[in-house]
Amino acid sequence: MPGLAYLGIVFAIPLIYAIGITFFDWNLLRPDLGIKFVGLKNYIDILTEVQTWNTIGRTLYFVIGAVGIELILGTAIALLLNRDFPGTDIVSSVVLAPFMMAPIVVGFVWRFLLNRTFGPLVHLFSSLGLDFLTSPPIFANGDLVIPAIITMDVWQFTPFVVLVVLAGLKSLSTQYYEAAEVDGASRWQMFWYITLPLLKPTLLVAAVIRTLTALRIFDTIMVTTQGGPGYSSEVLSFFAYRLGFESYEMGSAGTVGIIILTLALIFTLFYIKIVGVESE
Amino acid sequence: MKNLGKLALNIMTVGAILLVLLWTLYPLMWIFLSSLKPAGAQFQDPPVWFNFEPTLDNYREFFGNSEFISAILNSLLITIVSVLFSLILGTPTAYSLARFKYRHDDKMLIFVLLSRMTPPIVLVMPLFLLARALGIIDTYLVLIIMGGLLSVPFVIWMMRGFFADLPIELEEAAMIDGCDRKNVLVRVLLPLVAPGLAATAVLCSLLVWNQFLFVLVLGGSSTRTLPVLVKMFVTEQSVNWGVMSAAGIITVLPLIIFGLLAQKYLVKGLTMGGVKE
Amino acid sequence: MNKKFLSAVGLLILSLMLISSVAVAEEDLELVSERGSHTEAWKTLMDNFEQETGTSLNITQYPYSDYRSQLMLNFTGGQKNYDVPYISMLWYPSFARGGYLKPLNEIVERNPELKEDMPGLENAYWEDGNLYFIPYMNELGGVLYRKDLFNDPEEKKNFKEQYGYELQPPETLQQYKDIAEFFHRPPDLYGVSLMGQRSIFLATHFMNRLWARGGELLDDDYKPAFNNEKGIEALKEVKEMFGYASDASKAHDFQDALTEFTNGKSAMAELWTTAMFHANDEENSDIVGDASFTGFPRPEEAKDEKRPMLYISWGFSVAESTDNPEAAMEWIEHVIEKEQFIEAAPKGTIPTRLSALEDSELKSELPWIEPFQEALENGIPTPMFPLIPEGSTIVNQEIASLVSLYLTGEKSAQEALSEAENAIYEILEENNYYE
Repeated sequence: MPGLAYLGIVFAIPLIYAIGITFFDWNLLRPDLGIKFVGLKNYIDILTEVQTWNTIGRTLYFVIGAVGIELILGTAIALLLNRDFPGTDIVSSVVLAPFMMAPIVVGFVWRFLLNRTFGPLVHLFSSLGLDFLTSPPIFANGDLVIPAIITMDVWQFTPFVVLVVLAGLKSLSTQYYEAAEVDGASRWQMFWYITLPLLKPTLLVAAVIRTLTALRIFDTIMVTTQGGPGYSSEVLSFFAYRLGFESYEMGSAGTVGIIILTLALIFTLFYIKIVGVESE
Repeated sequence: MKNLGKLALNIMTVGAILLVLLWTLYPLMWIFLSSLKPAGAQFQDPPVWFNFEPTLDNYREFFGNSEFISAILNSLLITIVSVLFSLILGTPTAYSLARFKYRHDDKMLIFVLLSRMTPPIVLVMPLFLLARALGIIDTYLVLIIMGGLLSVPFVIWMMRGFFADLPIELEEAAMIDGCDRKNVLVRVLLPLVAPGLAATAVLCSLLVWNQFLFVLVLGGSSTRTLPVLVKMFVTEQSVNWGVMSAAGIITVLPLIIFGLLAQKYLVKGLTMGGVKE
Repeated sequence: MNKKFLSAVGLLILSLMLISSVAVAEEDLELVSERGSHTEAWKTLMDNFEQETGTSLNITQYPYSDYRSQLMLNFTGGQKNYDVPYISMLWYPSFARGGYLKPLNEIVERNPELKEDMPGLENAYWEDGNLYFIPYMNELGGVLYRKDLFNDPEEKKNFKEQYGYELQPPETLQQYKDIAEFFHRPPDLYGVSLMGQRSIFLATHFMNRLWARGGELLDDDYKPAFNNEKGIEALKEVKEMFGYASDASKAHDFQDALTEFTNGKSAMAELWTTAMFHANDEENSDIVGDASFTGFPRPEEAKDEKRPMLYISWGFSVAESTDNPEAAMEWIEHVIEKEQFIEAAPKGTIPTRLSALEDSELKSELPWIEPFQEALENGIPTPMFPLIPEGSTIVNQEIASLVSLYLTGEKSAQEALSEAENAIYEILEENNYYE
């Protein structure tokens, strides 16, 4: 199987390498110090740091917040667009557009929209009297910066959920609905007792994929806040980047990477467990 | 009474659709209009939406950048080759995993899933160090390998679902007629999963085209792609918002065109079974 | 799969590899730099050099935010792409430590007058006694201010009534604060433009004040030395100054703060000297001809003392891997000639040679060169950090975070300082600085 052989080379080798370097002290800026085996020191150092746990908490806050909203909003929009209504085709294509954009461009777009002097959103907020959104500016407000990044993520990736759920809805058989209609079920009952259970596997796929991509958010943070103010928007992947590409501490950066991977595994196992229970 | 209820529902639907459109289009319209604004109109306070002399200067400046042509060619080339390459590698694998029972096929699937879920930040440094040892940094080869790394697991995962949905009788019938496995796959099954293949291709293209970190680290001046070029318009003095907006529009345009062309396959393809995994 | 198709794809990939290896065209010299005004200035000298020497030059530019990591990756990746990197003075120690740069001692041996004429050279010799960096541009941390506002009779009168002394460019920290408060009339005008995004820029606001008080980041044994009364005062003063800045300042980076000032939204801006070029840029500035520069103010009692002052320098280095070191040095010696400096300076750079700064024609073209030179003579040019490979990590990460954490109120001044002190101590201890 060529695909597996390929992954065996270009994925497994770097992964083993990635795990390997976490046991070494290796600073690219100081080649004179060499590469020293330090056992579990990197893990101990990083996991005993309060800052790391705050960063993990912040990452979870972002991931759960973003994915939760995307799932709810995405399902709602998909239901809306699945209705037999003129123009939904065109609307569907329009709605997909943000999903096609490079995250780095999305970051710039929102930085532009939220610019304190010439950003239209800021002016909209002030004319609506929502001063807490404009002062201090959102990207400098420790309490609002993660919600702002969640908003960017929701704007970009809700369309993905819409796409997947729309596909799921189209494959649902109509017979259940016909029977339910005969029984006089209300729209809400039909959604709650028929559509949602049938959609569960679809939603789980969307949830897995979105969770895994949300865990790696990087580009948008890089162009909007650089992880600030303070550490308010520093998530794990940005932390790893700082260690790797600003301090050039290969071992510590790799260790944070492995923490991210572990989180990804936990999430996936959690989702698989739900799917597994369902399909039995 | 019932008609009245229906009318209310329709009005609500229209309202909701308009809201969704506003949410989606507000940022897009802003950068589209900004891409047409002359330099002076960018920084107006309060900002203007329509009241300006439209100009194509920003696009001219972006196209006139000495690296624009090479960046767009690099992007196209890396995306097309890696997606094709991934489909060729991944599809037969997906077929085998869907059809044959192997001793460790659950483990193989978990391996595929693991490669899909490992964040780029984990792999980028080892890949950099390995690529350095092989002397292939800043080559198309390493970026295509990177594209494959992003896409192959995705192809296997999606296509396995599509193949699993096809009735096995089809293949049996074809084999009785004297086709071997390879021919069955190419002649009989591929046409049937074509929509799924198209959907997979679109989603893989998104992954590769929009990739930033891998290209930043593994690429270099001769293999710079569009998303990386966009960042070039941030100078020490200022972010050139006009050109940046034009660059954003140009960067997303090929994908939107490709997405629209393949759109009917996108939902149809995903409906075939990929999403039920 | 179809064999023909497969082999076609294989061929395609193979040919791409070939193309990519040829794509790096055979130039005589490859220069690499950021996208910034001083680079644009020396770029204008390239044509002439090519014609005079027959050496052909090619340049690659990166945005400032990616430039250092791109160079680092390029060097550690063992690529021979660049012959002449134009770099920040802060970076040469780590590149020299990695063995990526060639010593340039010959240049000074051939041009002994540089020793007197180029004060930046003092910071450019590395611990091994070799010279790896030739300063090309230099500037000081200080205050840009609006001459038109400072000279307005009405403003002058009101200021004197309110504060009891003449309104003039700030010389002491107290004056600086008073003036910022005086002009702070939001939302039409802000007292001062500052840079609050968690970044090296924010760190400079703290270091300016630490140094003005006679403090330092590290002592001679590389031990952190800022966790004391001076550090606390400096930190508190940064926060106080943000009270006279726009709300937006809290998220500003250098570009944003500069744009605010050049849009005429603030009376002063705490930046560095090259910002003057942007303030006088006809295309993007609303305050052309209205701005000037003064060195960073001091405490009252140290007004006439020489105190450390933020010194930023960019300059040329030569890659160890170059095939053409002679041509590389020839280029450098060419651009640091006095006449070349005078020609390039008005296009966006500040010469590192005193003799070029003295030039009367240059002074009439760039009137703010005069106060810059005064500040230079009145201060001790101090790089953002003692020049060690860990330097930029320490300032970019630890100092920037320390100030940001304090500004958002997450940490008290004492907590923030102690935390950064420990973090920096650990980094340096781990890298064998205290053995």
